[in-house]
Parts: sequence; structure tokens; C-alpha cells
Amino acid sequence: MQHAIVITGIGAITPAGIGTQAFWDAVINGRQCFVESERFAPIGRLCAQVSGVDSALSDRRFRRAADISKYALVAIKETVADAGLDLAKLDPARIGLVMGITHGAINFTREFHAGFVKDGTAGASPMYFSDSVLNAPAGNVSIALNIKGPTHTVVGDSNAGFSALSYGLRLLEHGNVDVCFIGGAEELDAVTAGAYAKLNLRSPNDGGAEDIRPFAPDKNGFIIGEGACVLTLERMETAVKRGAKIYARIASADFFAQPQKAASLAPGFAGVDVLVSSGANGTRFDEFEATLLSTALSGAASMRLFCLKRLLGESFAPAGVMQTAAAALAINLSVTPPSSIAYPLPHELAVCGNTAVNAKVAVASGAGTKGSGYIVTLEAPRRDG
Amino acid sequence: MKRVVITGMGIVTGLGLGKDENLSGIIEGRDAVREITSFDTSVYKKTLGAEARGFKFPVRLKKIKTARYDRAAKLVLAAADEAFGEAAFKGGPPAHTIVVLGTTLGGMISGAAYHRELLAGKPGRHKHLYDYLACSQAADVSTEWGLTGQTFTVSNACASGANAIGFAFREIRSGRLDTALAGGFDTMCEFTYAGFNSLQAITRSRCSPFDKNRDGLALGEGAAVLVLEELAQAEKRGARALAEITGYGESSDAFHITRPEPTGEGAAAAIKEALAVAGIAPSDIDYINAHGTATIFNDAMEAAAIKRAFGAAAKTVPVSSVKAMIGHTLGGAGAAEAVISILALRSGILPPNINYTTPDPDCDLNIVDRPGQKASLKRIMSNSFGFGGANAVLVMQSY
Repeated sequence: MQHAIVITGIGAITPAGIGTQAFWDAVINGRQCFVESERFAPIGRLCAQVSGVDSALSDRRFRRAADISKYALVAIKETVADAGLDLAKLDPARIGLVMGITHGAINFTREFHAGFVKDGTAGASPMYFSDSVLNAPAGNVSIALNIKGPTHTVVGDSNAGFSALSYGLRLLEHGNVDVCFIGGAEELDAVTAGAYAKLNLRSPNDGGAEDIRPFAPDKNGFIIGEGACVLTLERMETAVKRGAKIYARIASADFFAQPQKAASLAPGFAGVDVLVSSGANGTRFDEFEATLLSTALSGAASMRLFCLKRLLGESFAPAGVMQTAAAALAINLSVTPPSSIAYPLPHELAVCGNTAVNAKVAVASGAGTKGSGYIVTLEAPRRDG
Repeated sequence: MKRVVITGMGIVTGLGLGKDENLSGIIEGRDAVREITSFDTSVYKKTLGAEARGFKFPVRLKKIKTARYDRAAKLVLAAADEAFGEAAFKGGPPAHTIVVLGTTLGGMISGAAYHRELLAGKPGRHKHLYDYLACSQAADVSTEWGLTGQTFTVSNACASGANAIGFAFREIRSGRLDTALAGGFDTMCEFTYAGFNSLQAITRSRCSPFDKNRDGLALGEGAAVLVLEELAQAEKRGARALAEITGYGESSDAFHITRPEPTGEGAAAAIKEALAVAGIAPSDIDYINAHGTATIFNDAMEAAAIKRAFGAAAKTVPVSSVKAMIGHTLGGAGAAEAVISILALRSGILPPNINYTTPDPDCDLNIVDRPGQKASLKRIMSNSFGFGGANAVLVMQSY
């Protein structure tokens, strides 16, 4: 990358709880955050749901907003505070925001649609409609924080968070902004959950036990999740100048439509300590990611494999951002999260051992349902850039 | 910085399939807004919109099985087929070409069909799910042309298409990439119709941007994409450059989720940035293709923004909105209007702002009120603004 870009803040609201600390506690303790669904039928199926967002939402202007917007608002408030930024002292036109979204405010979308299908024009709620648009979370966040620079919503599959990261990096590299918040947000919904079951992607798609087992020979789908995660990105020189805490430097963020092309990364991957894999959501898309990783890591010695979705489920857009946050925290805290996998890995991932080391280089990876993947590499910051 | 040229364009709107039909429609000032037929309109008092009637999917596409794809994919694939055909890459577009598309709906027609089946107590059918996600259509384009470059789907409401082009422009201008397909699309879908209807934003008479008696927008549908290339590469392969993109500006109002900021400050900031990137003064712009939705608030805001950014030049620069002809194509608008602006640039004929009869003191601009007006066009601007306070502005010039 032309400029060294660093992560200086993290905000998260996840099924592990409100805030980054709750998120990291679940990661470091290997705690699966699955509960029997309360919000949608069939009751009793597992899901990974966020609780307590309303009490965490400090800006009451948005109390009637869709959950996805509330998640984004809570996460961004935390990352701003964590980064030590006083936004009032910054030029609002030099602040950027890129939100990754998959389904958007799907509850409002469903309610609005059901309203006019059942009751015609009288059932069409303008409130549901205006907050159902895919860029409503980004719009609400820009209003809440007075962000007047580039404000974008990038839609994608499970890779959407990585796409948002990649997009935000460009804004910093091209010099369009001085600080850029990149994130992902999603909310649970009955129709979405049902649709993924119909597509045979939710566990248990084989009649077996309900679980999410990335890369396992007997994987049988994912457990659906939700939440939001937002990172603060800055150019290294900006962060150093203001004395910011730096979690990690983003060494690279690469997109692959063909997993074999990841061979280009292999020469630089000898020192990877932690791999925060998507686990490609425990579905058939695992194979793409396994090939992607085995190709990129062909020169690596040994590393700890950590699959976040095994703990927090498949949240789609925020997943890639949460993985990147976990990788950054591993570097910042010099720890390796315990492997969340207690079953044999496929031979492609034989390089993944279980040795704990002080993490200096961490990789976040993902593969989406549209047949592509990302690999993001983070390194401990070097003040010389 | 690298120079960025356009070597191919494709467009589908209510005016027709392809550049020729759209150009003839613009020259004539044809009104494509009719009673909507895409969905059952019986519950609405009056439904006006510009549908891409008579659209036929180009049969020569090989990899995409059209039957299971949403109409959105069919529109955007048709536009991409035209654009790549015009760009005339030997052996097809380079595999590393990135695809950046703007949309607000993606495959919402399919998603709504699935949900309607559930509401009727039926099991929703699989076929409605494959192409529903708004990122699907960009992936469809990559699949059809075997592209392995990054794909982005930008959803910044009605600025999406312009933002998609702007992103690709910056990538090539910075030297990071040499080829991109960028644009936008959206379909005529009851979901959005019902939504804008609930907001009382749809015209009950006729779509008349900037007119004193304007009473709302007409929805449209369509897709438009442009092949963007780094100039030296285009010249090396002997490609014909249709126009050059020289400026892009963007901003956010941070004001309201649906209403534009009334003073036009945010939109003006995007206009000023686009001019600064292009390195030109307001007086260098020969025509502004306005966002011009024909809602009370948008048009007054846009006029204020143009006056803020252009100063004295705002009184003379010709301005028009083509939404009275093609409707508001939402995520496709910025792209369709960029293509139409370039068609105007090349033909030397200003796109008319049809249905404009009564000047509005709040929109005291030099509105192009008649079709067929000739002008010497060198540099043009295209404005796009959207829900969430998204503002995107492109500057293009003849090459």
C-alpha cells in the first residue's frame, strides 16, 4: 500500500455482548454465544443474537430506527471513543464512513412489504420504508456523528465487511479523508433465517446435530448471527502525530476470485502467527477458503487457526470486520486466541498448529457465497511506517 | 495522475435499449413516462413511471442462464454487453477488470416474489433467492465475462450509480488499475413505488423538474454502464475514446435520512470538489445534467447548491434534468445520466427538461426548456443526490 494505514479504534456489538471487551472475552475464552431463538420461528433453533442494544443506544433520536442502525450507532460510538477522537475538532468533510451490508434493515423491509401487500396503501408505512433503504445505517451514523465526507454503503455476501475495509482503504490512500470508519452491520430476521435454511446453508442441513463446524468433514451449515463492528482507520503519520494507540498496521487487503491466485501472497506469509478464518460459515464454501489459505500459507511454518464464526455464528457483513478486529486485538495484546476447533482439520490446513505465540502478524480471511475471498494481513505497527 | 477515458457505454431506459434509441429520444424530447404495467396498480390512484418496455435480453450471452435471474441482472447484463461490445477489446475485456455497480434494490423483484409466497401461506420458492442480494448482479457480470477483478456493489441510494463511476475513476486516475466497468441499475418494483408513494413523493400529474408546479417524481427503470480505461492503455490498443472523466466530488449532508439539506451546502461541496479535481472553473462548464427529481425539496436544494458553487455562472449555464423523460432510475440514475450526458456532449444537442412550463423563483436557473437545442459542449457536469444525504458529482469532457 502507498500509505501505511493503521487501526486505531474498535467498536463492537455482538452476540457476546455490548462492547469490544465482551467480544474479546468470548474470543479468548472460546465461548460459543448461541441461544435458542426467541425472535422468530421455529423457536428453539439456535441463533447468535444481540441483546440489550436499546439500553446501549445513547442517542435517543434513533430509538425507533431499525436494529441494524442501532447496532451500527453503538459500535461506531465505541470505536470513536476507543480511538480517542474528538470529532468536533476535526473537519467533518475529511471524515469517511464505509459500511458493509448484506441484507440491510430486513425487518423493516419485510414489515413494509407485508403492510402494503396485506392492506394496500394504508398499510405502507413511510417510516419503515425510509429506514429500510440499504444505506440507512450509514445515513443514520453520518447524521449522528456529523460525518460530511464520503459516506458509503457497500453491499456484499459474507465478504461485505472485507469489501468495506478495502473500499475505505482506498479513501485513505487516495487522500480523500484523514480518518475513515469502516464497518459492517446486520440484523436477524425470520425470513432471512428461513431462506438460508431453504438454501440448505443453515445447520443442521444433514439432520445431524445443530452446530457450526468450519472445515470439518461433517460440517452441516451455519448458525445465523447478527451484530456490528466498526474500525477506525487512519494513515500512520496522522495516528502517530496525534499520539493515538495503534492496534495494528494493515499490511495488505487482497481480493481473490480464484483461490489459486493467493500464491502471490505466499512469499510474505512465513511469519503469520494467527489466522482468523471465516471458516466460510461451515458450508460448502469452506473449500474455497481452504484452498485460498493453503495456497497463501504454503510458505508458513505454523500458526494458530481461530474461527470466529464457530463462536459468534454467521453474521454476514460484520463478520469480516469482527475477524479483522480479532486479528488486531491479538497483535495489540500479543496473544493467540485459543483454537476454537477440536476436530481434525483438512490436510490443506495442516500448517495450522496449536502453539501459542506472541502474535506479531495476523491474517483475517473470508470466502463468500458469490465465489470470491479476501485475505487481510495485519502486522504489529512499526513507527517508521 | 493518469487520465481516464470512456471507451464503451451501454444503456437501457424507458427511452429504449441502447445508445441509439436513447439519443434519438433525447433529441426529440420523448416522454417515456406511462401508466405502469410491471405490477398490479389497482390499489393506487394513478401510477406513472418509465418502464423499459419491449426490453429483450441479448441472447448471445452464454454463461448466465437468464430464466432464473432477476430482471435487474438482465438489464445490467444487456447494458454491459453493449458497453463491452463498443469497447471492442481483442479477445474480450481484460480478466482483471473490476466491476463497480450502484443499486438500491438489487434483485428486489425476486425477493418480493419470495415474500409474497410466504405471506400467501406457500413455501417460498428457491428460484427467487439466487439473485436477490444486491451484490448478485455485479457477480453475474463477472461470471458472464470471466472477470476476476474485484467487484463492488455501492448502495448510496440515488447517488449510487455516480458513486460507482467515481470510485472507478479514482482507481484508474491513481494508477492502481487500468480497466473498470462501472455503472448502476434498478428495476420498476412495487416495493419502491409503494415506498415513494407512502412518502407522497410521486407525481400525480406529470414529472416536471424545476417547474413551479412540480409535484413529485416519476419512477423509472434501467441500467447503464461505462467502460473506463487509463488513457495510455486505450491509445495503445487503438480504442476509441468517447469522452474523458476529469472530476469527481462527493459529500454527505449529515442532515436527514430522506430530506436534502435545504441550503445545498453538502451538494455544493461535492460540486466544488468535482470542479477542483478537474482543475476548472464553474464558467468552464457548458451544461449541467441535474439530479432534478421534480420533488419540491430536491429541486430547490439543487438550485441553491448550483448557485452556491457556480456563483454568477449559475445564471447562464444550461441546466436540465432528464428524469422527466426516463423517470428516476434510482441506483441507475447517476450512470444513465452520465451516459446521456456523454451522448449530449458528442452530439452537441442539449438534453431537454421536458414538461417545464412555469419558472420557479426558487429554481432560477437557465433551464433547457425545449428539445433539439444545439450548443458547443466541451465540459459537462452530472449531479446525483440521494437518501441518507449522499451527494456525488461527475465532470466529463470531450476527447
